[in-house]
Amino acid sequence: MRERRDLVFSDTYDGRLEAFGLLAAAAEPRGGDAQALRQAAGTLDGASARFGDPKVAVAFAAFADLVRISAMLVDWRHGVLEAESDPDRFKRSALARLALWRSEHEVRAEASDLAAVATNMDEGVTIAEVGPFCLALARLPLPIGIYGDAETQPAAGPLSMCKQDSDRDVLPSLNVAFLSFTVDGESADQIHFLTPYETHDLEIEVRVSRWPDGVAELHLSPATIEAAGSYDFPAFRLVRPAGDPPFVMRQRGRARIIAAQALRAMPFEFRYAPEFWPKESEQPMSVVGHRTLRIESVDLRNSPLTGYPAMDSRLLETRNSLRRTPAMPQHDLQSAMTLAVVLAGLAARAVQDDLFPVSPSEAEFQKHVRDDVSRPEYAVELATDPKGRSALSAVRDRDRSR
Amino acid sequence: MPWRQFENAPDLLYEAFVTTLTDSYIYVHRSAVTALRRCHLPNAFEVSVRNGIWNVLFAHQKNPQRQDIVLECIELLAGQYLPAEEKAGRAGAFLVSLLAKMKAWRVSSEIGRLAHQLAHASGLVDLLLAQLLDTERTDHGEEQILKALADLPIEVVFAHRAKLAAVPVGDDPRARYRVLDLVQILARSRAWIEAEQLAAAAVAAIPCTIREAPQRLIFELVHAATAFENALATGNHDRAAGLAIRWHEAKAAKEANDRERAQRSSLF
Repeated sequence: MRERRDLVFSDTYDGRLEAFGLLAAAAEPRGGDAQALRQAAGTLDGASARFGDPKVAVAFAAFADLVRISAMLVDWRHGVLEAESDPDRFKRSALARLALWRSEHEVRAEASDLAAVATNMDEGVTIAEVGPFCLALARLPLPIGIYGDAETQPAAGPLSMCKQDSDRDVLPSLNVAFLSFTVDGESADQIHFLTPYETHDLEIEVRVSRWPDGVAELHLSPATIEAAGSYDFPAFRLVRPAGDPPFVMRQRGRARIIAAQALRAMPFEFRYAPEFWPKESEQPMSVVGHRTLRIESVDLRNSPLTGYPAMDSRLLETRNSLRRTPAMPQHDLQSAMTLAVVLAGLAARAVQDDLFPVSPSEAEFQKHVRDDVSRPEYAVELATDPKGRSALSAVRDRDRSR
Repeated sequence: MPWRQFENAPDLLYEAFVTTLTDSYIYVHRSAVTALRRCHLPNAFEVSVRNGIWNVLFAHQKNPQRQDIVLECIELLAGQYLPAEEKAGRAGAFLVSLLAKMKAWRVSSEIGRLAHQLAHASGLVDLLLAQLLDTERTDHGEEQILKALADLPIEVVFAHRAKLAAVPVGDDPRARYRVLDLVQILARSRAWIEAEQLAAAAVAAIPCTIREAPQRLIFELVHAATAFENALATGNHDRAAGLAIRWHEAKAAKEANDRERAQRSSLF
């Protein structure tokens, strides 16, 4: 039978009502307290961790993330209206977080109502849409988490209750938010290209909700499954800045990709993990924001695809676009890219070398294409067919036979 | 047979095994059913095994002394051998009707898994609510039933929301806490109106006495929260703002009551 001590409702519902009030205030054209919204999101995160019903916990965690995104949007609106320096960084961060939110929560039934609120938020969002977004979020009914893991508390005498109240006041949750990554001055929120064997600037910007007592440094280290010798990425060490929390800190380091990638290889992936030092000290309760770097490092200079840099970069764009196509089989992608490299090379030479001064006949053009396909570097992959079928048919047949 | 060897066993062995499900000796087909819980035959034998289990189940379903075999057959059918559409259809409803005839103690330890497997079967929610209100069920049994209800899909709870909202609050202060589980399940399934109704019924059922005050204050808090979420769901935003204030007032009253009780000297 349930016990009264399992009830967490009266401790956790405060955060939900606080978020409602803050979001409703943020619905005003110039209203909203971004910092308070972030704190409310942290409170909601803490509540979600305590609920016994995982479906309620998922809904609260998803809501907390959207409250955090709304805080970034409120910051963006404020920055634009007050002509602050580079306010769009807040918008970029919000959209990057929203993309992560969608990948994590959109498919879950518990967050379907929340996903509907976030449907129209995309690159084209304007500051006029921030208020309606916050209002829609505020007016969304949420599940009610009643039972969960009650926090262990000392005997509830008047003195201990006063102490608990004061403890609650002075210890907001410890959050680390990754605000931006820039590589050579450009935002690295999408797949970023780094020339291999060259050194690049990597700048990182984080916001820490508070600085725990006894902590000397915040370490941000790259976590990856790539081979140890294939990259050299910096580990950042941040010391406590002066002033009151929250702290926004930036640091720059040097990054180098040591091993070039093949055209067919997936991008390198690095995720920066925060850790307060020494390790025994309090660690972040939640880590949010864009902290994953996806790096492309095909060496087009030493191993060009067509020999024409502009055409090579266009081929990489085409490959990335095909990779994003849902349910694209890997074999089809490889075959398409092998053909695309041949045809792109022919197209580039046709322009650069004036390969066809007069319009060729269909038969002459096909002969050119067949000659290119039969070049030694492609001959194995695109074996021309003695029956006169197209190279594409030959590739398709080969894939079917695998 | 070591489990790694199952895939190497000849079909002849499985054919021989399937015939034991239709053996006339109870000991033989009962052992076959028990063995099926520990192994799964190749797909080619699935229909034969399913028919065999149905045979055993039909043979014993009316015998009160053989309910353990019937329960084993239900578990096998619901867990492994019935496709989803049959579990949601007549076959699933039939299995639920058999479970409803059994004593609550017999199915209490399996009710969570069976409810998950037969979630879309007709009559399941009625079965769970009947067992929840069964005066003979144990505290452990109540916990299992509440977990089973919490595990039901949102659409199933929503379809039966009126039945859940009609669960009586009762006079036993400890038993009243199950209402909070039901409120949580209803609110999580977008049945905010019924969640509010149930919470309101609980507040009305708890007398305004010093002894009952702590529980009543908890239910008043929950009632304010369900009313708040319901107001948001129905677009009544002015009411929602007022209910948020009411929740804070109720919480202040609860904290004041907690402090007063803590300061009260103990007789012991």
